[in-house]
Amino acid sequence: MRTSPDPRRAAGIRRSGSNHPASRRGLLALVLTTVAWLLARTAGAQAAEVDSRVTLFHEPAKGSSMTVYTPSTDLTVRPWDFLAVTGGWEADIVSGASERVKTGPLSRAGPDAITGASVNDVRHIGRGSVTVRRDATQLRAGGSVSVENDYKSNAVHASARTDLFQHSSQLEIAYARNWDTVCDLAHAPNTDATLRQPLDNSTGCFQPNSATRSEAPIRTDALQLTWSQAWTPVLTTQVVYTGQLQAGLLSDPYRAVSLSPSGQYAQEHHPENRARQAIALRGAYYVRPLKGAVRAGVRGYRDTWHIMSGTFELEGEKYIFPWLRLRVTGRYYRQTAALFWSDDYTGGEPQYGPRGQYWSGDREVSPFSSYLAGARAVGTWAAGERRIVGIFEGLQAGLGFDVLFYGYSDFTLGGRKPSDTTAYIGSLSFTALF
Amino acid sequence: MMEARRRQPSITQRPAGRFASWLPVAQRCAAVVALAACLLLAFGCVTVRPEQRAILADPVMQLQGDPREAAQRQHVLENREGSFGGSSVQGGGCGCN
Repeated sequence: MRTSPDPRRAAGIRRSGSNHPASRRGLLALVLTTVAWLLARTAGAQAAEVDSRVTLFHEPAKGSSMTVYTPSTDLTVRPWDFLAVTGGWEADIVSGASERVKTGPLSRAGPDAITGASVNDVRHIGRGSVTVRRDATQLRAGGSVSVENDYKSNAVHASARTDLFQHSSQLEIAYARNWDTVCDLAHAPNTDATLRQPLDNSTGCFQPNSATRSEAPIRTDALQLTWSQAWTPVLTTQVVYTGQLQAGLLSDPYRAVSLSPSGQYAQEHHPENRARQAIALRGAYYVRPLKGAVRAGVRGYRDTWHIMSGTFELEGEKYIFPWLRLRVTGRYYRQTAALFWSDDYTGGEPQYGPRGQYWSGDREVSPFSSYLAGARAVGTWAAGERRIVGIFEGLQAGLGFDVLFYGYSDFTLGGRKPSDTTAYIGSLSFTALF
Repeated sequence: MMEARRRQPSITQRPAGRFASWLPVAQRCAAVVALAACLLLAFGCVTVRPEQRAILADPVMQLQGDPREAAQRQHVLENREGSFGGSSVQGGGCGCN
């Protein structure tokens, strides 16, 4: 649920160097998977589904390229028609480099002030859920545990869904809560924010007797309401409202921001509370002559940091062969800046933007737009009278590729436009039904 | 500059007077809920019979496509954007502070 400003932090991307034992990593996933497998065997499973996939994110850039692998595996068993149990594991494997101190165009310091720091980390997530379905109602509950060198997350979620009017209308309410903990430098009590220094590495994080590290909580609550409506045999729409409350250390403890012309810098300092709202409307229409569907979506977003954004998506998907379908995607995103954003905090009041008691070096809270274009092919094979290769009831394989372009209108690194404004996303998936 | 920065109020602080004006807000919320209820009842007139659902059940008509693929892509996108929501509230935290 939690989001981060860039893929550098997608896996809690911090510098490597800590020696946390990995014995518990993925333990939950293993337990859940084992339980799901045993349940399937003992109950005489009607069906079991294994889904494995990997997503590769690559951002080429001079001196600050970033690569993130995200493999995952989920096992779902349905011992009875009304029950589905899912257990899974996912990881983010990150390598690359990132800027440590954010400076703006007024900085007297040259490019050397933009210190590149290598980032290498692995985040493991174990997750599971139980789904109960009866007639027109579905209940789902689940949770996840995420561990990495400098960040821990525990999350639970629950949802209820019901169909109305001969299944033409569908209403769903979902809730999720996160209890997260982030590692930070052990600042002396009552240290002014302008004097706080950034965390330099994750060594010592979450060790009980560490004198140089502290832990900061982050709490997140999210509520989502969804209404889906089938209007005709070829037209369906959906409206989704999402609200989220965040509280805790919402800035990056590793990032520093230059605050004065003399070169003084301090740890990034964001507000500790944030309320976020989004409403999305999407629809799908089947075009019979094309033997495919057109999907469109729009989303509006606003939060208490005064960030507003709009997202527009258009997709087309059609069958090339009865077993192969192709999807093409286009997406445009644009957002305004947070109220406290400035590209340079050293120039007085205000030369480059609004000022306040907060400062940020995070491009996520700067004004920008992005474009995405992509395609994905999915092949599906269903067993007839005999199983595929004598084993599978069904198989599905997918291959996708997206390219992202970012345009930052008010974000520089020492006055220079960032070079990491293009990213490539590749995905490969394989699903087997037993 | 630092002093000036400290003097400014937090952007998360709100004037107390806004809390006193909860009644109109409650009325507006009630109106929205009533409108939604009326619309929902009206949509009861719009039904698609089960035998007409073949296309609606086709994978190409799923509004969010493959849920797992959509979740992973959303994970990548939200890691670079200041916004959130409109798809799923599930998540395991991303160590992305």
